[in-house]
Order: sequence, then structure tokens, then C-alpha cells
Amino acid sequence: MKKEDMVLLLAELCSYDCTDFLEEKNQQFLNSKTMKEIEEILSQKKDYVLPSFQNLMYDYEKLKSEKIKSIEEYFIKCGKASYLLYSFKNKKYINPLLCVGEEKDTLLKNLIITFDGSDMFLGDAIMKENYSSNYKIDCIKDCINKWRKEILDTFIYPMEALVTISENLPLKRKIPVMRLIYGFILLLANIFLLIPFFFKDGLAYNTLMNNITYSYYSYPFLFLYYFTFGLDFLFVLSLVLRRRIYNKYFHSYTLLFNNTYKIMKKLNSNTEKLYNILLNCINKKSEVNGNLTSFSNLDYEFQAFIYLKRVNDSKSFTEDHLLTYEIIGIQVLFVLSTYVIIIYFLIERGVLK
Amino acid sequence: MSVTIKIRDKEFYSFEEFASNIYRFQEESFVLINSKKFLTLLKSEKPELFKQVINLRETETNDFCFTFKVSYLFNPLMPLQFYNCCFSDIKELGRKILNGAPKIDVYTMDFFKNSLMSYYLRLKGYDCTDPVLYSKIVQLEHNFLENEQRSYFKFGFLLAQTQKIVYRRRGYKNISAFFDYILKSNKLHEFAMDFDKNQYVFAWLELLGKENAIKKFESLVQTIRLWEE
Repeated sequence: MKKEDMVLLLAELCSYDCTDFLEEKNQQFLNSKTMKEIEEILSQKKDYVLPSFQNLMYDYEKLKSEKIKSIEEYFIKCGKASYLLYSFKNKKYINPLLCVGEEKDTLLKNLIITFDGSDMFLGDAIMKENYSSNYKIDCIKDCINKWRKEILDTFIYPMEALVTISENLPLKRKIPVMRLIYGFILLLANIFLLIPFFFKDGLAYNTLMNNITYSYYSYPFLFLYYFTFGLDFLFVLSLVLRRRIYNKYFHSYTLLFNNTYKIMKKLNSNTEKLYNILLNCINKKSEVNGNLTSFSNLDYEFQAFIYLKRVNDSKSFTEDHLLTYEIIGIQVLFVLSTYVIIIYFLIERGVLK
Repeated sequence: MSVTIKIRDKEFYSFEEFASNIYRFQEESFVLINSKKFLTLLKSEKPELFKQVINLRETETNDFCFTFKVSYLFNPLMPLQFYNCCFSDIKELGRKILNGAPKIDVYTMDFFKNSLMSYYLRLKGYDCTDPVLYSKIVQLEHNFLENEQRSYFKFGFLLAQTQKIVYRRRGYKNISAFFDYILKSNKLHEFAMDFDKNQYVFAWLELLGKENAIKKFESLVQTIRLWEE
């Protein structure tokens, strides 16, 4: 707090008109070191959806967007910004049951909790004298319940809803033009494969059906057949692989859809583990050791959830490797039909027995 | 019987004369008044005054207050005087405080802190002639310890009976003109340096009825400092 600003505040409170200084103060606030630091922290955590973090982020956005209307407000905003920075720096938003990336390395004792109405490090709260063990246990229970509820409300329950509605997600699909053309050419090639079977006594027919000695002219036909077979195989294989490897949306969806129960089970087990460790520390009056890694193993699923949620919220999802399954499905069907017809012919003509 | 009272190289030939010079020899006078010789002399010359001095000695623990009050027991007609300063009237004391602002005279501060101003005013009958001023002075003395420096300057304004603040040799009667000068004449930095430490401006603002604004200011500054920490 600058002394010059204090003079301005005093002047304003004594009914002096400070309107001329407001724009300057607004700029000063937006360009302040505190706001820049918050911005930097937030830029690294764009997708963090836990409410405690979102609330801080909302407060920051509000501070940033609302213009200063008085010097008093400027001071209040500076104070709020300082508190926000403190909250971000001390990672007040961390939920030990769900951490992502480096947050997992945070020491358990360095978590900030509300103890007796004020912010305090978990380690200090547990070691604090003049408070009964029962009081501390109740406090820890409240904190853990709050953390658990936060995950249930923002991750588990929405996840269940998300995996249900995802099937009807209005995706903005990018039509893979080149792949469709390739599919179409392949389709024509497959139709071409069938033509010889409708011209009896032709070279191709004889080559394929009558087991006659291959002539010089039969090789191009054979080459075309094998070449098309090869392309068909690669086409179908690429569809399967692309869907498996590249389609993050599909992957995330499958991961959450198949593991809802497991995720819930993991959460319960982590909650229990955390509670037991803290209870032990309180009873033995020992220091809290270790980091959050062992309680926080839902980050993979959480990131998948964040991804799905973002896609759902934006409703403008485009993914390079997402294929228009309806069209390409028909192409695959045609390719497979070709093989069925060929095999049928070969069996009927006695080539395959 | 003639009385001769000697302090340093000065001789006084009556208790009244001695009393009117006590402010010049504050510490020596205190020692002298408490000496057996002086008290015996006083008892023999002015037994009524002697009783009053003895009573005062029992009730008054502060040396400065004791000598000040004794001096007015001996000579109630004296003008206001203490610690080498003599004022023809109370306004002069007020002017002295304001002219010296934002510096503070510790002796004058002591004088107010020990409620000697109201004592003096009572002695001079201000409680009857100017009860408003008297009650304000009593109130100020009562709340003196809440903010000594601010009260000191409030005494200054009250005694000088002025609402004009003097800053850099220029007088300002209203808040708007004062802040106009501070905020729009490149004096802000200089003024801001220690404005919250010396309470001159705050005393003036309170005098103009801005107590609530100042309270709000102080509470806001305190809260923001807490946030910043």
C-alpha cells in the first residue's frame, strides 16, 4: 500500500472528489505485480475444474473485469488481489484426494485447512496445543468430508451424467475428404473385383476359377486382385487403429464409462486412507509426513473427465482423426460384401471346397 | 517575618514571587518544596497553604503536576506557565502548538497528558465562564491516551480557536482547498511521506467533523495491511 494512495483514500473519505484519479488507479491495479502473478499461475491451470479453484478464478475474473469506481474500492480490490495471490501461492484450492501433476508432490502437512475459523497448515493444526484431540478429529473429519464432497459434486456425479449424454453430443465433425475419396476409390476397386465373375470364359474368370495354367495376361489381373486385397486390409486396419490410438474423445469416454464404479471405489479407499493417517497423527501427537501421491490416484480419470466436459461444453468439438463413421462404415460394408460375394462365387464354382 | 527563598543564584522574597518563577526551575523547585526547611517555613508563615501542600503531596504522585499545582496554590493569579514557557492566555498556547506542527513539544504533551489544562481552566473559572470550551478540554484529556499526538494537535486547534490548518506557510480553511493543493501541485509524495505518523492533519479533519471518515480510513488501512501480510 503506497502512502500516496493512502492520502487519496483519506481525501475521498473526506468527501473530496477523486474521479480524476480513478482511471490511473484502474490501470495501476490491472498492471500490478500481484495481478500479473495471479495471471501467470492461472495460465498454467486452465482446465482445473474443482470448485475451490474455480471460485478463486471467478474472484480473479471479477476483480479484473469490474472497473474501479472509487479509491476505497481500489484499496479493497488490492487487498482482495493480495489475498487471492496468497491463496493461489499456498495452493489453498488443493484437494488431497484429487491432485494433478506437480501438486501431488505437495506435502500433506502443508495443506491449508480452516481450523478454529482461520487458515492454517494441516501439520500445524494437528500439532497445535490447547485444543483437544476430539476437536482436531472433528475438524479433520469436516475437511475430509468437504474434500470428498467436492470430488463427488464436481467429478463423480457430473461424470455419470456426462457418460450418459455423450453419445448424443452434437459434435462438429471435420469431414475427412481425402479419406472419403480414398474409400470411394477402394470401393470402385472392390466392385471391379466382382466384374470377372460375371463374364464366363473370360481370361480373368478362367484364371481364377478353372485353375488353368497362368498365362502372360493373367498376371495383371492377379496383381490387381492382390493389390486391392492389400489396400482393403490397410483401410480397415487404419480405421481400427485410428479409432483406438488417436481418438481421445472415444478413449476418454470409454475410460470413464467402463470405470465409474472403480473410480468411486478408489475415492472411498483414498478418503479412508487419508483419514486413518491423520487420525493416527492426532492420537500419537506425531508430525504429518509424506506427500499427496498415495491419496491422489484419480488424476488420469479426472483429466479424461475434464477433456470430455470441455468438449461437451464447447459443442464445437473438432478432432482431426475422428472419422465420419456413417459414411466410412458403408464403405467398409461394401468392401466386406465384395469378399462375401467373391467367396460365395468361389465356393459355388468349386474353387474353394 | 520576611521570607527569603533561594534557587540557584536567584532570591525570592515571597511565596507568590517564588511561585511565579517555579516554571523556570521546575526540578529544583520540586526538591525545595519537599525539603524539611521549606515546609517548616511554610507551616510557620502560611499554615493553611502548608496543609494544602501536604494534602497535595499525598494525592499527587507526579512531580511535574505537584510543582505545577503548588505554584498555583501559592499564586493563583499567575498566567499559564510551565517548563520555561509562559503564556499570556490560552490562545497563545494553542498558537504555539500549531506553529510548531507537525513537531511536538514533549513538555506541552506532558502538560495535557496530566490533565493540567483542565486544572488550570478550573482555577481560572473557565468552567463557569466558558463551559463549552471547558467540557471539550475535559473530554480531550479524558481521551488523550487513545491517540496522544492527535489529541495534542486538537488541543492546539481548540485553544487557538481556529479551524485553519497551516501547511507550508499557507493556511487552509476547508478540506477541498487543502487536498487540491496536496494532490494537484506535485506535493503529494512529500506530504505522503509521514502524514499518517504525525497526526496534525487528522486532528484538523476531526475538528471539521470528519471523525467517521477517519475511523473508516484507519480501519480500511488496518484491514488492507493485514491482507497484504
